[in-house]
Amino acid sequence: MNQHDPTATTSDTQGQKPATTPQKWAVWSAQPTSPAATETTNQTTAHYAGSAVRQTLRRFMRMRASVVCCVLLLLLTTVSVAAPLLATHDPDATDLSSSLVSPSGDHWLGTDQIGRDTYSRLIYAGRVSLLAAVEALVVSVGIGLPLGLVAGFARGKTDAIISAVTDAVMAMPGLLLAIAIIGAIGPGLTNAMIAVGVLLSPRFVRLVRASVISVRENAYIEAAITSGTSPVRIMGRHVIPNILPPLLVQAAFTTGFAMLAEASLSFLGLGVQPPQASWGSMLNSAYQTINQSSFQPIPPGIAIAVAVLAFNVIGDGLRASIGREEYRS
Amino acid sequence: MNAALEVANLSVSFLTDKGWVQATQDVSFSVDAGKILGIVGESGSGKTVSCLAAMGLLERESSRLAAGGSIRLGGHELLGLSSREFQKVRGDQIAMIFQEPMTSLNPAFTIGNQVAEGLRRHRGLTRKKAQQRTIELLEMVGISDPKATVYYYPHALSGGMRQRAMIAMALACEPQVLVADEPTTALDVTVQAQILDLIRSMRDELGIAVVLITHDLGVIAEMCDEVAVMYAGQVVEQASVDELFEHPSHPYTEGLLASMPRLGSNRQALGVVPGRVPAPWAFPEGCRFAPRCPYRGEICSNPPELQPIADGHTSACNRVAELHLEGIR
Amino acid sequence: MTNNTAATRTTATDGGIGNEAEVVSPLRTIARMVARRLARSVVLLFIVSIAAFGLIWLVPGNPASTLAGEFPSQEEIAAVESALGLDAPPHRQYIDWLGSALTGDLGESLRSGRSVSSEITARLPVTLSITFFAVVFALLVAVPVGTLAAVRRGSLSDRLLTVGSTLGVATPSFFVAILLVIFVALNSDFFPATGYVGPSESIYDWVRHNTLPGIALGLALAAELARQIRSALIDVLRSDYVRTARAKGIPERIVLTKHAYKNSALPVVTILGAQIATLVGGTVIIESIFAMPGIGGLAISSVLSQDIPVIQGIVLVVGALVVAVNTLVDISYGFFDPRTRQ
Repeated sequence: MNQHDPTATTSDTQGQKPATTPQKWAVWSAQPTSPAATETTNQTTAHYAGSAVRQTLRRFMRMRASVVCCVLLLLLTTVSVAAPLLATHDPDATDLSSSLVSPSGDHWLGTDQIGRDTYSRLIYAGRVSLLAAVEALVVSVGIGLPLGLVAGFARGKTDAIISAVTDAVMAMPGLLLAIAIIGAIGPGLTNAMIAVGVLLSPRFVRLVRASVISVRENAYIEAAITSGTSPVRIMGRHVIPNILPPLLVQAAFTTGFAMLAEASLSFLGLGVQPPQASWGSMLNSAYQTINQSSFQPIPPGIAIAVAVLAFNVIGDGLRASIGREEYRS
Repeated sequence: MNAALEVANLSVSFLTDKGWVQATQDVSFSVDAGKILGIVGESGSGKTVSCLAAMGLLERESSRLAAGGSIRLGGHELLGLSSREFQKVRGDQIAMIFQEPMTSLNPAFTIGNQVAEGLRRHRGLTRKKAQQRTIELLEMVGISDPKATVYYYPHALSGGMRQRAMIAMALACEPQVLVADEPTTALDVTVQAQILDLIRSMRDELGIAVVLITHDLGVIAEMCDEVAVMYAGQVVEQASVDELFEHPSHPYTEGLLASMPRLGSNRQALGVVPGRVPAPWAFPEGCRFAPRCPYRGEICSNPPELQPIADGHTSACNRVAELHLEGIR
Repeated sequence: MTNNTAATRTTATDGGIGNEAEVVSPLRTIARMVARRLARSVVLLFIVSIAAFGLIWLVPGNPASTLAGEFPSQEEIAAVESALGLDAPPHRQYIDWLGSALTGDLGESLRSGRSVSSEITARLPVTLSITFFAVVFALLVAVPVGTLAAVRRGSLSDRLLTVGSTLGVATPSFFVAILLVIFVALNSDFFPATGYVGPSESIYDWVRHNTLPGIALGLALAAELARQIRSALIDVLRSDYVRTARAKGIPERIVLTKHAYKNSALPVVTILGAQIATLVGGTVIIESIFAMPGIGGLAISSVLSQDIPVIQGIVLVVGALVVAVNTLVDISYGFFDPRTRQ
């Protein structure tokens, strides 16, 4: 039958309408869903699914890079700890007869101006550099964590003052401020790293304060506060677990940054004092003799760059795997 | 006489992580000057993709059109144009407005700048003349105080006003064809009717052809002359509006009609088409709608052809001759 | 129904929904925003000034006797004490110090006896030159590289950028400087390894002397910026309004330079502003490597001789400069994103 004979259809539908319409609609509402239909996604997701998979893949790749960097740092630490076993020479023993020699079987990375073995000095200096970075990290977390907690919990005036100071410190050139503080308290590695730690602490203040505020916004925390649960208990149970992941990420970046700062200050002679050496001070003394040997600055320079790179890549990897921050493609 | 826009056998494929996937297959539709063609279907049915392809807006690296297709604008073939040649046509002879007026305008430039941009490019108007014309256009689309509005940034306008500005921008160069991709979906109900009114009156006044993409059959009933129903990348039924509503000849169309709320109908009895549109790589063999179709039979494992069933009415259902589908009068 | 009635009718209703009434004159909103940013800067400067002045209290023991040099006599200590105004109560000391600082008087150096402000103004151009060259170099590298990587994301050049920027951020500027000295300065006469010539003497020599320091200082910034430009551009190029621009038939080159750049400038300018402080701090070490007579050299020599007034002056002046730059950056947001003007 031709459905499109106008008269036929009209009379057809008119006649059937009261009875069939609900039944027809029922056909459409009571349809069992076929598996093929449920498994599908709409086209827009399909269109972007590609980039999501690529992102995951890239995330994995970057994670592999951070795994490599973890191994690298572990190696660096081991070498630093085992420096006495691995050193081929006394790092401080001078030998003016073999000054600034090129790398050889005896001196793997050559010698400096007063004939000290660069390889042995490098691994001993690694101890100093790593330890100094950790020192600064401890100082900055030690200051930043309590201040951030106080600012986030107290709010009001206390928060405003802490935040304003934090902003001001972060707006200042860190290295210059560190130099100024050293100017007041005097040079030396420990003083330098305290200065660096103080100047890096605003990063943690901001992070912790933001976490505390976001945790506080949860209704159940507000309820706990009003019902008189002690702030210490709230911190221990809700705040600390919440800030640990981002804290870890920030710690990785901060350690890398502290390492860079230590190298800079020691390079300028404001950090580590002779005869002790760090990579930064080695780079400086090598630079003094750059006209005689252009090789000497290379090993400590690469050591600093690789160590900082490792901390940064680990930080990137942690952030990606924790997924706190929006992952940029 | 040539149709204003005639799309034939358009098959679009995308490069995804599953390889090249065909999103639309042999899509054909045409619209005459002064007419409104509605394209209706659920999200994922290929409506937008087909229109973006007709506009030459698909990324060339990640998409391709199968040979044998054709996009004729006023009788001139657009397929095979270089990007540069296509740019001259786009915005000049064929224009498009989008679903999200909130994000479709550049937040960093004034309304006047954005409307005038196409005029200056395609018509070579001076800054002054383009500004003059922009004010006329804004007035034409019903923006009060157009002289001030040219200096406003998009964020200062409401959604409805922004969509008006989008329409002014699209009509700036007096195109033959306006493609409107769900132009009212993101707007308040009261504003929706105003924007639809505006599109209709622009059609009346300028005699342009309009392609209106929507998932809302109510909009189709109110606005369109012709309708193409799309499902899973194919056109499954095509007819004039009255014909389609009275005599739907594809089960999918009937399902859409059954799920359309209308005055006096019992809300409880409102039907739904169960399931969702499959993703392009999961299109079923045979009739793509079969898994969701209450009328499916053995014959439906064969791919149906779009065939004429009455004057100006085509359907792609294998069982079209046996079924008595319920329309709306 | 004619078009005209339709338009009038719809306008009447829609005009009420639109918030044109809330739109204040653009000039007034800009003025208000600038005023707010300036107020914030004043607060920052106040804290910086307290920090600068407070350095004196960090000096261990009795500051006057420590600062008066080795084995000072009673008279010398008293002289330092009155030079620094240490005999007054602390808040009085600060107000006096700040008051004269505002008139441009930062006191005298304990070592050379010369005016601190003239010492600083003599050396400031060097530091600013290096910073300027660093920013120019960073932008010259980062904009094309970041754009290329964004436009051809996933390509070889994109992946090279990712690796290169990770390396660039981690490499200390002073190591880059030393490498530049070894591989460029020692091998060519064009770029000298040491010294400074001002632009007023010879633009040509100014460029020669500042190029290598600028590259060394700007490399990390270039890496960071390139990464930032890439990700900002990728976001923007996917946006609806870029699609609108393309739908208008705007050529891809103009879509990129007009529509995409202005919108992706915001995160880039933010990074630039945040890095200015780091950059200025970094000049200290770069000046020392290239033996340039800038603020950094002054800072180090005063630190080694505990010349507190000079250190205080440097912290205050540099702090004020950095705050000023950051204020300008804040205000530029209003240009790049009109929404922030409100």
